[in-house]
Amino acid sequence: MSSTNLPGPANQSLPGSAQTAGKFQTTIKTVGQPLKYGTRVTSSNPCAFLIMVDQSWSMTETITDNRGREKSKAEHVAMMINEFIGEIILTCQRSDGMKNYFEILLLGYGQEDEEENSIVDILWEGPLKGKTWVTVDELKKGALRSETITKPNPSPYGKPMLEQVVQVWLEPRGEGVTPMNTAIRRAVELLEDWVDDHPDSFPPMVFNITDGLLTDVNYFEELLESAEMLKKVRTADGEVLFFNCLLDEAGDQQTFPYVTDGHLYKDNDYHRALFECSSVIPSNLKHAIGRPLERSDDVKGVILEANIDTVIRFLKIGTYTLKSNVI
Amino acid sequence: MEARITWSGAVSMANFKDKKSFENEDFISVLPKESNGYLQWVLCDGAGGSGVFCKEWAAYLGDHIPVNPGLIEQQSLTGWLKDVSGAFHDEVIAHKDLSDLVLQQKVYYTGSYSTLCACWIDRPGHEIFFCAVGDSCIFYFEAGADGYELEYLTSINRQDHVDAPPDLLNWNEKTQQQLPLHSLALEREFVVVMASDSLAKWVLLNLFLMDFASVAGFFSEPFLASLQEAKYEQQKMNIRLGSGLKTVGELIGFLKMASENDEKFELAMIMLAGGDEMDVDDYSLLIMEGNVS
Repeated sequence: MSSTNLPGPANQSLPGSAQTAGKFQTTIKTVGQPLKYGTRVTSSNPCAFLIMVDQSWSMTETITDNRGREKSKAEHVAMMINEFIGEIILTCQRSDGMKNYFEILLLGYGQEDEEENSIVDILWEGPLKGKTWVTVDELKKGALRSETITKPNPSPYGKPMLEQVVQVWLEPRGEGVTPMNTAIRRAVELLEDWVDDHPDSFPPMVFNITDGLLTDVNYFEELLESAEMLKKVRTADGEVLFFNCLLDEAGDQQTFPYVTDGHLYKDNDYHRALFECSSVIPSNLKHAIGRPLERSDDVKGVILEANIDTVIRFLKIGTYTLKSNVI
Repeated sequence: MEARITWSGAVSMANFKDKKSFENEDFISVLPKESNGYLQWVLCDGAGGSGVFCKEWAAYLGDHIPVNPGLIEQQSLTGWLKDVSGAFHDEVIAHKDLSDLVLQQKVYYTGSYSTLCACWIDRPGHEIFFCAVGDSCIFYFEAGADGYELEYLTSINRQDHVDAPPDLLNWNEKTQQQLPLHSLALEREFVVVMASDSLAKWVLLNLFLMDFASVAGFFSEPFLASLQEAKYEQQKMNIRLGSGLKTVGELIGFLKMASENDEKFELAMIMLAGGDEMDVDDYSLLIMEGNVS
């Protein structure tokens, strides 16, 4: 801290100071109600991202992104998640090292075990295998593989070419069916553990990326029930935020619909269920959705019939939250 | 006739929650000695949430701002920024250890961000100059028949949402933006408040609570709407129930007292943030009171 004062007339009175002096001398006090989704992200109060990834057989279908790259859905999604993690590491890189502003967990559903049962499993491999929640520092040091490439320096200053490290944490997979409901139940347990350790943090965000119908429920009410359980997990700053992205290249993409538009899905029970089970995006995060809003209504954190490129916009809610809430 | 400064304070502190004092990314400076008749106050808020070496960039910007705005036409101020950017890279960045490739990537892809708030007073010419980029704010009040009134503010009012990403200065940008320079004639008693973003928003909420009509004209409709979102409605309520200042005079009095010394400033900021009247952040405040006589 520093303080500087120019010389002024002696014994000058301070306007308004008499009224405020009493209040000024009081110690910390809390008035009103705490704000939801307003907690700043710090090393001692990190935020958490849980990414649920559909790894069922249908994810092996080949699609083309808007840059003409033809790959399986699983490859596209893995690439985007790896880029998302890389961007988060970059966000948390500070002049003096990494700041552990967030913890992440990748949860897959659909891959098969040795008895060909589709299972739900934490996806860390290599140096991170066996871990649950992983800090950004652990991520940076624990990639499955790393590659150093050389790219042109975009800055007007410095060397013309720069070395850059590209890291991979998630490999693409696709087999078996889609036990999404089981994955949500597993996520509830993992989130409960996390909020127990971080009761005052910004609430965890759950990003679910799938391309088809879940196979482990008889009625969609079961999905809604699991989603309600997940959204009841909370920190002092609010409930867990549950966002869903349903890939379907053939469909008519609907990104972040208004909460008042639920009637649009009356003819599709699965869409309706995903709409219902998704959280409302808090008003201070609405900027993250990447489009101007014509109405003041709240919007749902769901993308239905998404093309593959929309996954980036979907995950951007996470990076926006991190960037806008870091002190 | 000439402008006189009768009172001035300048204080700055790191966020009290999880930073040490040396981690404060705000830079403030006051040049109380005249340079060709000009006094100068500067506040630069390094945006460490966005870039790297932002503290260093904020300090470098603030240290190198011209002491004489009379020499500055808008075009040359922009040229100044380009020169400062190159010098900052060569003198500071080029000497950093960038063997960590992630850090190097962030340096050259992202760079360093800072707000810039500068105020100059031409004493013999009784004129005041403002230059501000970003969400650090300059509030200029003049004494009227009914007390102090807000006459000018810059530059959070260029945003369309109170929490929109602010326009920031970055040495790493190829196309440096035009810097605004605005001047006003000093004719009566005045107070200038310069505050970093979170404290500036608290000042703004107070002004809206005191006299919405006199402040609203500085802002766009979308910006005003953003102040009605739940977070800010809650903060307004907390202000009413907490510090509860009623007039601009009281507000200025509070800020003057808070800027008297480091201890009072820290106590005041902890009180306001502890009462959820504003966000936890690095805080800086410069305040000058003067007249023309």
